[in-house]
Amino acid sequence: MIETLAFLGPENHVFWGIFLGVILGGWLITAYLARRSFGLKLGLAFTTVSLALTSFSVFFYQKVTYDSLYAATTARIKDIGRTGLFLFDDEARRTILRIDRETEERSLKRDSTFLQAIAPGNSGDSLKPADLSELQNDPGFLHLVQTLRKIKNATREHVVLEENIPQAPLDPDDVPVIRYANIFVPISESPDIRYVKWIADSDFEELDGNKNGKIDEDEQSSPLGMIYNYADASEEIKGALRGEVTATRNYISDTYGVWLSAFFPIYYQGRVIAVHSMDLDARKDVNLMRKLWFESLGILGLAFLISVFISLLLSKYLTRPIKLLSIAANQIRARDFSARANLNRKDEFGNLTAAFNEMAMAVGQYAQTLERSVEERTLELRQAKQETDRILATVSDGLFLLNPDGTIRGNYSRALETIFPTEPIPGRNLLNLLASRIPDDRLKSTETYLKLLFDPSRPDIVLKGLNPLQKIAFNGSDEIWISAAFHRIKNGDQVSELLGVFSNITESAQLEQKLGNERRKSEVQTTLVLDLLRTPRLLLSTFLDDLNEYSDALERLNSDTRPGLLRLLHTLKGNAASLKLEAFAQALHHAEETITVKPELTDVMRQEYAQAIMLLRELSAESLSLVEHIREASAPASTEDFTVQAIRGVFSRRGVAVDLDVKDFHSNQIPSEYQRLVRDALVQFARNSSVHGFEEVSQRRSNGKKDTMQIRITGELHPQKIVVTYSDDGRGLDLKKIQSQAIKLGLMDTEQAMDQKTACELIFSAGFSTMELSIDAGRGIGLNSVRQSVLDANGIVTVEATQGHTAFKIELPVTSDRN
Amino acid sequence: MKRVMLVDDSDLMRTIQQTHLRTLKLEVIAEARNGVEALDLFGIHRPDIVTMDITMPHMDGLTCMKQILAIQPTTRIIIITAINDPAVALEAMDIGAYAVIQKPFSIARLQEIFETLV
Repeated sequence: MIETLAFLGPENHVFWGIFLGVILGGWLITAYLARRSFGLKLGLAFTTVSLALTSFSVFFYQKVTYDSLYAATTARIKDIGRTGLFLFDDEARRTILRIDRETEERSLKRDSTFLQAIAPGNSGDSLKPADLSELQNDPGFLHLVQTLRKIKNATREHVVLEENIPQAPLDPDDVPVIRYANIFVPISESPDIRYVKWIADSDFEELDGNKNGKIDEDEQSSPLGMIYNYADASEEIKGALRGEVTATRNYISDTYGVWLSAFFPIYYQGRVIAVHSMDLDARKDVNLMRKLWFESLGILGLAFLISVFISLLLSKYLTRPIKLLSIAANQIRARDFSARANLNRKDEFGNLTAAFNEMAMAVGQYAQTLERSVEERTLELRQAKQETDRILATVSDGLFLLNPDGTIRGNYSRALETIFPTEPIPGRNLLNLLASRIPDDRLKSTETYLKLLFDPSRPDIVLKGLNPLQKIAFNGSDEIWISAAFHRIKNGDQVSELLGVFSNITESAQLEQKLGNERRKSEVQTTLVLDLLRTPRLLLSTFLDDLNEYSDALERLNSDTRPGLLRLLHTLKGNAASLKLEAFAQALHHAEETITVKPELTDVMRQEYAQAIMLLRELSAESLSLVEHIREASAPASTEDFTVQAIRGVFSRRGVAVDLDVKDFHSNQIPSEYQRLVRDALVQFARNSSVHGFEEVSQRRSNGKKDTMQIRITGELHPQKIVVTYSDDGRGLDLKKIQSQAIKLGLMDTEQAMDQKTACELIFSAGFSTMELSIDAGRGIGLNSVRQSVLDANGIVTVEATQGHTAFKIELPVTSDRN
Repeated sequence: MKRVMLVDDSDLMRTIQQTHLRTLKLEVIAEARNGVEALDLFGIHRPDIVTMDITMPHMDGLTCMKQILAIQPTTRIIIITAINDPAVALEAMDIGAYAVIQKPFSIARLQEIFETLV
């Protein structure tokens, strides 16, 4: 088995592997650590470079050493061989030719099977043992062997010449450097010189050289005619056959040791007849190289450790300023402008940190200045904002900016919130805000108007007078009046926004309306005065009394009373119309209208109706006072108070002559809160007398009464109460009539006997009347309403009636603190 | 010089307008008594400005305006109407009228509107 020791030589793949590995590994690790600290990367780079340089130089040195050792050894073996060639004289050379010829003649068959069985470095015999033994005893052959042994043993330390040199070592402690020496020739079966044939060898016999009792592998013989597979050195052998002295390009290691072989041509008559070969024992050289190899690796390892150490130190030294600068820069970034990098060096890093510190100072000053100016500017802006806010808070108009999309900007005056109270304003669409407050047609017009305002091709002039919000009532009532104006704010050719001004003009609008109302009212009053003057006094006061009498009923509107009220209103309206009392006719008509429109009663309807009735009452009160004024103006001032006059009015209207005895009645004695009640009651009692108590004069005479009806009214003031009495000597109560009416109304049974007391009760009942409907009586409201008013005032009203006499008595409580 | 067409069924109104426009140095190139006539004349003369009444026989002013604008959208149409309602004016402007002048108009109003067109 042969192997070359190339790894120690010029084709040193291990070296290249380490060299490339260091560079590649260094580069890969540096790349992998790209995000680690700069110092680590720098250290790694240093290590890689220094390791690469060290390994390169170590291996270069090793290669040079190897090359020179190889060159020296090769030269030595070549010199030995060349000298040895002179020991082969012509006789010896002829012997070579002869032995070659004889071995060829006696050779066993050397076919391809035979040759292929021989591996490189191995051999096969080509002679039969008998032939071999005969030929090896040939004196020419032995002479050749002796020559080879001489050459070999001449390479010992101490050379002693002997005539016959044995195969065994002459001195085991002084072995020759040339271990093997032999002669071989090419064979015709192997033109490529893979196989050669042994002619002679210094060790042609088997010999137990180390005396261990057996033939070791390195003690085997190389007999004559041996076919040896020399494929590993066939090129060198070819060179020798061409006449050159050659040596193997590498040390060859096999089971016998480590060798350097050389090949020498043996000439005879100008032609190479055989090759003389020598194997030099290169163990010492190889051991030297091997030692050197391991030393190189050791040096490399040491270099690695040292370079790591140095590069760490160096990188630390180099990165420290960078670290310091980085820390300071980060502090500055965090707005700590007092940060400085403290590095006392006189080198470029020192300059850099100094420059950095100066820059930090400058930046700090700059930032301070900037901050101050920003602060000042902010303050200015804040002041300006506050001023704007103050203006917006105080201005009484609703000011705002309107975006082209119709939304209101965030900055607007507080007054706008009073116009749109309950809703959030910023970002709201103006049309949205208006939608619930103005009629749809106005809203649509507003939308169009705003659209036209945002259209820059419409000059202001063409839009003049088209503002639909010039004056408008909000929420469909007259409570809030708004006047809105819009002004364009232009940005270049475009209308970027509108300045909206919403003013609350409620006061002026209401004033305007009030003035209008007053004007209308005075017109109405003028008409009224004219109407009243024109109307006969009696008819007029009848109408007014009528109206007053029913006004309580008129106010009580519900689903049950509606038909009755409608009839009442209609009658009153007819009366007003026939009297040409225009104002009343209209007011009554209005009241009638409000409750006729829909079959069901709504709250709104009730409210409007109530208002209409109130108007009617006001009108009536006004008319009464006007009538009084007219009377005062046209008649001598009366000494009688109004109550007495009203009572007289009732009788005079019906043309009933009465004697009124009021000497015990003074209406100014009546507490003011009862005056109206008492007057209304007395007027009602008077109506009662004039209708129910009236008798023709003849009838009165036959009953023994005076011609005129005697009426007496008294008023007494007691400590706890006042008592007012009213009595007439009229017809009295008609029990029969009362009974039949009561039965008709279902108030009593037919069998029930009618007495005075029951009759007195009945006449106060609601809806009770024995008369046909007329202006003064017949609806059964009058006495009932009197009783109701007296009861409401915690008083008592009673009636005593006999044939020919009726007396009403009202008692009203007077609170103690009075008087 | 801008060329104007007058459209009004009242001869008097047209005469009044013509008198006013002459003082404004505007050239009246055509007059029509109703919308149908206005469309015919518009096709022939292609005026820059048209003054138009709303209530006219055969074809009302707003319909006529729409048709004119369909032919030539750059035409400036000034509605002159007796309908005294800003809502109507806004609607007319919304559908393309340049301006609306309400009768009876003053020469000052006519002048300020036309000045924006010169």
